[in-house]
Amino acid sequence: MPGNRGYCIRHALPGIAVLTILFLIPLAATFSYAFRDEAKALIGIIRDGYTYRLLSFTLTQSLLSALIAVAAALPFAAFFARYSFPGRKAVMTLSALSFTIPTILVVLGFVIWYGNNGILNTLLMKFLHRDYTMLRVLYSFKAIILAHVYLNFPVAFLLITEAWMGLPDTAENAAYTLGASRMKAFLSVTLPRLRGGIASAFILIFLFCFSSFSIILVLGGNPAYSTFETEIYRKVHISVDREGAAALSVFALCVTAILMAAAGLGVRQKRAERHRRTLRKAEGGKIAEAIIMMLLMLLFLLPPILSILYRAFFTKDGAFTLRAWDDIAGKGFGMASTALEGIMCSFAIAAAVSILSIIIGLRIAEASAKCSPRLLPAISSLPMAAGSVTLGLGFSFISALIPVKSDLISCILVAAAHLVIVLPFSVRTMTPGARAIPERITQAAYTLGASAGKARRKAELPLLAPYIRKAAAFSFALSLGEVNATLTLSDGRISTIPVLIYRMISSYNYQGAAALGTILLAMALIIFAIGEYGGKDNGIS
Amino acid sequence: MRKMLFTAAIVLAAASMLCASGTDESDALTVYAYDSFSGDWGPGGTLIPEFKEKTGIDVNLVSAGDALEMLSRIELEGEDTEADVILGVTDDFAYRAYPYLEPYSSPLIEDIPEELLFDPEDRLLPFDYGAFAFVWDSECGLEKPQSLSDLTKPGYKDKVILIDPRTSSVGLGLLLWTYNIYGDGWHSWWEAMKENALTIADGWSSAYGLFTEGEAPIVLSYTTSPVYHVMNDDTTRYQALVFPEGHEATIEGIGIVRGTDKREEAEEFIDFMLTDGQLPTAIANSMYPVNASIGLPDAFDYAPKPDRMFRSGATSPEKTEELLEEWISIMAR
Repeated sequence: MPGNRGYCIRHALPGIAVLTILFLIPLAATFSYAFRDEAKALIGIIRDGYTYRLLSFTLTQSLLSALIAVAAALPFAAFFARYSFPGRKAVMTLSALSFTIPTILVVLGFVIWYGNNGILNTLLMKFLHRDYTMLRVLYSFKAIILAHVYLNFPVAFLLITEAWMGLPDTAENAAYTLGASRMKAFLSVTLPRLRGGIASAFILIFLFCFSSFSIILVLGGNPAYSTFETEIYRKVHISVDREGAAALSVFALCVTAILMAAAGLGVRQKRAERHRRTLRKAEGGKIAEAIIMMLLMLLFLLPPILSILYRAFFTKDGAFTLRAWDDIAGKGFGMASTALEGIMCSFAIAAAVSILSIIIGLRIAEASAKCSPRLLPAISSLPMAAGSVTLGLGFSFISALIPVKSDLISCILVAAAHLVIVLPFSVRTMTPGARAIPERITQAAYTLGASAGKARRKAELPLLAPYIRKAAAFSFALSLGEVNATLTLSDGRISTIPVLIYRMISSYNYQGAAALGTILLAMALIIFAIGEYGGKDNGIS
Repeated sequence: MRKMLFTAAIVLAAASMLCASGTDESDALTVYAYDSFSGDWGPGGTLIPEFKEKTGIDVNLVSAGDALEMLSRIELEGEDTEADVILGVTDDFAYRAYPYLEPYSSPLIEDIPEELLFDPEDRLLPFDYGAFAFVWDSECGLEKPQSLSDLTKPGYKDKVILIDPRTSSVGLGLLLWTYNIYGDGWHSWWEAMKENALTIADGWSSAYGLFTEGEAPIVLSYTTSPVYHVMNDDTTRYQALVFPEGHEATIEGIGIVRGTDKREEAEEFIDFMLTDGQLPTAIANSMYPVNASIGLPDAFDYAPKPDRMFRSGATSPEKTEELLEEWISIMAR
């Protein structure tokens, strides 16, 4: 439907409007600082050699993290997208869990598991009868990459698997018939058509790592490992240099914009014929392969999470205790119903955010599938490209503009901020699905007399259902774990679980924080399970 | 689609009801405080009702983020601010608050030791203070460090967790601390620690988490940290190290916002914070009360007061920025 301008504008408009109000306007206001006094701050940043050191490290670590995460996810995606086997869905559900946890708990989970005095090392020392720390992973560059891959593997795995499942295997079968080897078929038939999905995952992970800094500082163990975000944070919070912070944000945003544009140009989207792949049942050797695949994934993904669960019930010395649960149930801190309120509050906000992100994200995804395929996802990814500190600046600008008066307004602001944060994920999850809808199906619906709305409801949306469910689950999980925007915007009126986790920690109660983290994980697990198992399976062709 | 939008609206409305924890506003006295003061766990939760009972004055407690965000908010709102009182400005950032405040020479100033009165014009009055210190695990088998310089010895390699001054006020406190002790020689302490530190964490939360997980036996924190372990874990294993060279202190102040139409109520609130408010605030914030006559619970015996203290606010903002830049060039370049 090229050239159908009106359609595109109508579809993209709500999304663009939300982004403009919530993100672009505050961002522009923030950025205007960078250009004060004839852009003195910006010129200073461009001239400073330190900026380029930061740039080179930021790029190195984020490219490396994204590359490794995608490369590691590919073989797993290849298998999970082609075969069905017992446990497949459960593993896919579990793989997404790490996505929900607030950074501080990820760091803790990593330290409990991989730490020099962590569980892994204690076990190794016990079984190999050594009395020194055997595995020194943490506090090095390796640890940064390990943690980033850990956090982003699920993104790559789920997005690529989903994209792969949208590819019919007819072309590959044709290649086999023509005598191509498996490798050759993969490289010349499958991979080119997968490029969109892979690029989406790569860009998301790249952006995520680009603006990461807590993990880098704590686990990297060396202040030389600093990213742009560290420096922006310092300028905002310690040096109170708004001009400098804005200038650095502008610089970083330009860099990411150039890289994203390059990535977008490199990927020419071809419209895939819609014929969703039917999963082959794994048998014999494939079952063994499936078991190995699942074990490998679980061994990588679960231990840090399980470490948090473990800490919720056991002290550092290994003694079982329910004290953390008593604490959050109110016996320790006189906060009787707060944990429960936090759960309900987190749930309600996440639910609203996930519904809204589907409504808005779906329109953007559809418009970008039918019209300008590159621009829209890029625009919707801008909030991620701007980085969390810049986002936070924008949000504090909003909250100063709207002197918050009621819980409802706080709630709306927080939900809106979450929406801006989750939108890139929901758009990028649904776009491959929207792209794969063959025009002829929609046109057939028109021929049969359906209105545009009815064609969308009855023909297109059912085809998109699995993508929508996945996007909804992602959005839900992200909103559930979000903490910075919530704190900045809610004026302390809103206590979601991650906010409570941070409060627990600031009163030295790491065990209580682990217990709350366990609750958070349980909620996410339920939602992901609904995302995977809910609804009929996708045997549409 | 309409149905979904409608659902979203309902869910949001429900969320706002579920998440509600704020207070009603009327012509109450509006107090801006940092996030951890209000909320269910902060001292605000008990103090505000107590104040109301005592004076009949309604207080609208607004938690305006952390201390710095609160300042930014006052700056952004300027004349239009609703705040009558701001609570929790630390002495190092006090200069930013001064233009928005009016002096109040409370009679209670007499009870406050002179060295804590950081503002000669009484725009900000101190209400509590604390000191940074290294906390150590006394059962780690290492020799107890006796001074800041001891930490640079080879025996403590990978045994110390520091905090980054670029991302944390505690980290910044350490930077100023070393400057106050060593003067221009502070470089060499950090150069040595570059080797000895296990890691330089982004904030206090992760640093202390690493410490309680046993990753290293020494961590940068506060003199009052052991109190928690005494009260909650019933152990005196974790102790604050008091160094003879002195410690960096941070003082929290409260002040009246310029142009308020509730000057009298504001004064009453400040006086309340300097009397009845002292003990609950000290316990909840884990700081020392400024009013020296206040008796503290026994657990505070494990929070040793250093004999000598440097005020963070005494280092000018320009100097602090200069130190930070130098720090980066030593550590990160």
